[in-house]
Amino acid sequence: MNGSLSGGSRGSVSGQQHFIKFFSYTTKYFWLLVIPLLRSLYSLAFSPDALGSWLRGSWLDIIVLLAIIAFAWLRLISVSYSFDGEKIEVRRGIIAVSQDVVFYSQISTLSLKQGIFYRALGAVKVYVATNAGIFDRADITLVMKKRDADRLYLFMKRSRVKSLGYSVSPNKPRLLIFSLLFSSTLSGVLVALAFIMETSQVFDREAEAKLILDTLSEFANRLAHIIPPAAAGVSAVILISWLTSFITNLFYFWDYIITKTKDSIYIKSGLIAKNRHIIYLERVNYIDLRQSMLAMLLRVSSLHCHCSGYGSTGRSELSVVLPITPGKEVRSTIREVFPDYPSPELSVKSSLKALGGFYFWPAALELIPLAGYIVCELFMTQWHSVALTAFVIAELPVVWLAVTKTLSMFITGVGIKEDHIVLRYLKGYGFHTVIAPIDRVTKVVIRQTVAQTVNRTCTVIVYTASDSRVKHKIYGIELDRALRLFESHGFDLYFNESPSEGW
Amino acid sequence: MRKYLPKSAALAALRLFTIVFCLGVSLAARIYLYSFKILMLILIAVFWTAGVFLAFVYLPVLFSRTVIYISKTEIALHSGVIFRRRELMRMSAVQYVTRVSLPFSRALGFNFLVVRGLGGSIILPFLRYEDCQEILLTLHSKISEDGAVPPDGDAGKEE
Repeated sequence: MNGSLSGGSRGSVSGQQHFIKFFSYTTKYFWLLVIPLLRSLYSLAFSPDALGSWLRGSWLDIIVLLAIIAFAWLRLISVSYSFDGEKIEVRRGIIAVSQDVVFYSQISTLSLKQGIFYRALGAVKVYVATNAGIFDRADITLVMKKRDADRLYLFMKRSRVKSLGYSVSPNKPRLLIFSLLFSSTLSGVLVALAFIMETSQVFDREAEAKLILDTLSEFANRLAHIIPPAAAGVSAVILISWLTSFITNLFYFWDYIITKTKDSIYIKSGLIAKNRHIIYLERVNYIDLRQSMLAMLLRVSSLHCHCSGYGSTGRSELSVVLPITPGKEVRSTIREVFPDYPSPELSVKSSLKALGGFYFWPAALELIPLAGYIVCELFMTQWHSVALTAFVIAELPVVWLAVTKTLSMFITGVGIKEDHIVLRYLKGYGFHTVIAPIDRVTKVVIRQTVAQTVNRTCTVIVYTASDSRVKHKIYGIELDRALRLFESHGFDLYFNESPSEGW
Repeated sequence: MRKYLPKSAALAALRLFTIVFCLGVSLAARIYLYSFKILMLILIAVFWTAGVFLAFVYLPVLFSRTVIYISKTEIALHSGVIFRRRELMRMSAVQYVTRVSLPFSRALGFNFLVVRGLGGSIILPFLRYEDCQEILLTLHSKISEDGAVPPDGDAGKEE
């Protein structure tokens, strides 16, 4: 398993994956077999007869277990890697051998991630992503020894142009306050679900469900004296989700530092889990300033960037360049890290003629809880209080959506400036301000519904370069202004139906 | 521009595998389906028809129509039996290359190159070992040449 270095500090390193990878090559049944087998062995009286009867009773389990171990071991030893100052090579397979050779110049993102267990065992998960392919995932994923991963990081760093860099790190007390204020409950729920899914590979689902229900019911019982049980249950879920989101964000960004050199961005983050990324600036497809409504009112935002492999290596991974920070600092960071990107100014804003369209989804979604409430009131009168509580809870996000849609009417728009396109729009509950070099725009679609045809507005859909499908929808733009804007920058969206012109 | 053709030994090996596979299926059918004679005969006939078609019609046509062209700017693959295909990838779009070698690949030509490019990949099949090496070298030198740091950069300097 040892990596070896040859040819001095600029030589090549070769090795095999860290032994911890062996466990991910075993199936989940491995643990379901090992634990009962060990338990039955432990409970034996230590005598040859008892051992013999144990073997007679468990021989099939032992054979299956040995087969799992053998296959996992074969998979582990069949993967090897080597890298030098120029490229990384990965060999897989024993009978049919495949070999990937990736030059550092083609790597969009190199990510090194170390969770708490990996840190204790000296292992690092390494993700190498290029712009190749059609799926948004790393081209090479390896679990290396820390020493080898550090060397790879160093080799990659040396392959980049070295120049004096600009570094920025968020202010920690402010990060704490902002994380407290802006941790998204939804993302907390997603992280919690991801956690449950991960643990389900080892533990029985029933035990897991019981554990969660027991915890929730105990919490709800304590609150039952103050608030109704249903409301207490929902509150508990929201509180736990918010807490998960808050802690995840805080731990991820606590030691966050971004350094920009001439051609790359170096990001280090994590209090417990340590993450390092090298992003090739030339491969960044666009930057995205994200804000919730509260963040917009308080003039703070987080800066994200879209680059193959960055933000797509884990369930809770974010493509953040700068965590939530006051707008002034974000603008200064954009000027330093992405100097070619212009300030986000819009040439065409959404039209008030499209007012009705902005409220379509809030109005449609509002009908679902209302219909449910009416049904309950008509046919299940004994559930009146529960139905009313559920109706109010279900209406809250819809009302919130209507409020954000109202705000989005005044900020939605498109602009093209200094060979960059600026797109400002609302997606879900989040406001996005996307700035992309114009050559990263792969497709522009102008879409009109019947209502939009009547009021001469449209939805502009801009597709940007990516190894997965990425589109930005800007609603409520005046059709003529949108067509003129794109035509003046080389996107001819007019079409001539005149039969005289023909093909 | 260099032109590469698939190795003919690969065709011979594939024919042999097909015949051996058909023999195996016939033998298995003879052993396990002997009491269902009609089913056994139908299965054997179907497998042999498909096997003969594959070995003596489809594969020879596929091999004869497969041509790979490598130039300084493009990689082109012409192939297809029923539908003719012409795939082309610009050299500038190439990100990295995966080489797949099966057992006895030197003798039998079971060497494949998967050229991974922006938005897709192109598979160069049944290459001679020497051709595979040569194409790999061409692609790697092109990638490293394109990705070379400009002269004003000081990449590689010790910290």
